[in-house]
Amino acid sequence: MKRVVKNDRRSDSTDLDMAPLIDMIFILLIFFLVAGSFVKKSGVTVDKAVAQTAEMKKKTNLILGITRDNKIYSGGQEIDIRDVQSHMERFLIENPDGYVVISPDRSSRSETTLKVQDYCYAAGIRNISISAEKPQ
Amino acid sequence: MKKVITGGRRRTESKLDMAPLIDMIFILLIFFLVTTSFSKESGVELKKPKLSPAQTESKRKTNVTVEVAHDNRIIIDGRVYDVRTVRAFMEQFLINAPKGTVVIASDKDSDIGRVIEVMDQCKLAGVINVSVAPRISAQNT
Repeated sequence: MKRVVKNDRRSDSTDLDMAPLIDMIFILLIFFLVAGSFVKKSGVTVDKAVAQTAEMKKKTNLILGITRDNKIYSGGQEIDIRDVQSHMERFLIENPDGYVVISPDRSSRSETTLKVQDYCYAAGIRNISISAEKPQ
Repeated sequence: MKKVITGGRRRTESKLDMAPLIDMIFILLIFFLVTTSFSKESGVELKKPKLSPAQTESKRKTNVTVEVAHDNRIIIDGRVYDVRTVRAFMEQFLINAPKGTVVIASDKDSDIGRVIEVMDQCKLAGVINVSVAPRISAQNT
């Protein structure tokens, strides 16, 4: 708050000092720029498998969800198992060395997950992990 | 930023209009607030067994195959195990073969949750090299 009193009269120019506000917003902006990451979610909720040895993944670029009835989802859209490889190749062009997490439902068939993982490897993705949660 | 020169002289008030800048930063801030996600994924890695033809059936038995059948039964050496006993089995196995490897052969109809559970138990027991492979369907249970 800065009041400038001009001459003898009292002018009511209550000028708000915007500088600290702008500084703060800038800091927030930079924080979100740095800390945030853009993850392409699978768009489906799955009942994850439980593993005590699960470890936190630093980076994730894409999550592939596999539902109970063995359907593969990415970004809310269903992908046919035969299209996974081409889908992953496209993803790899956009993000070279992208991290992919396969998030299968615990009662989905293991074949689906292993196949999806195979196709991801075949597409050239090196960082694949299977999502599992740590029990509390 | 703001120069106020009081007096009767010509005042050179070069005032920068900050409003559009602030608006823009606000919009950017809100954009990043909405789009970023901080959810960290936790997961495990399913390794594929490496083919090493050089050391087949050498020395003592240094690897064990855990089968996960289509009905989610866990079979080791032809015997059915419970998930909770897998760890004890693996600890016993590690005494005989400290650098032993475990291959989980999962039937295509088995649940992935069960496969992950078995792998988890093996890792908890201390097995370093755990890999998962689809079971060859030719052999039946």
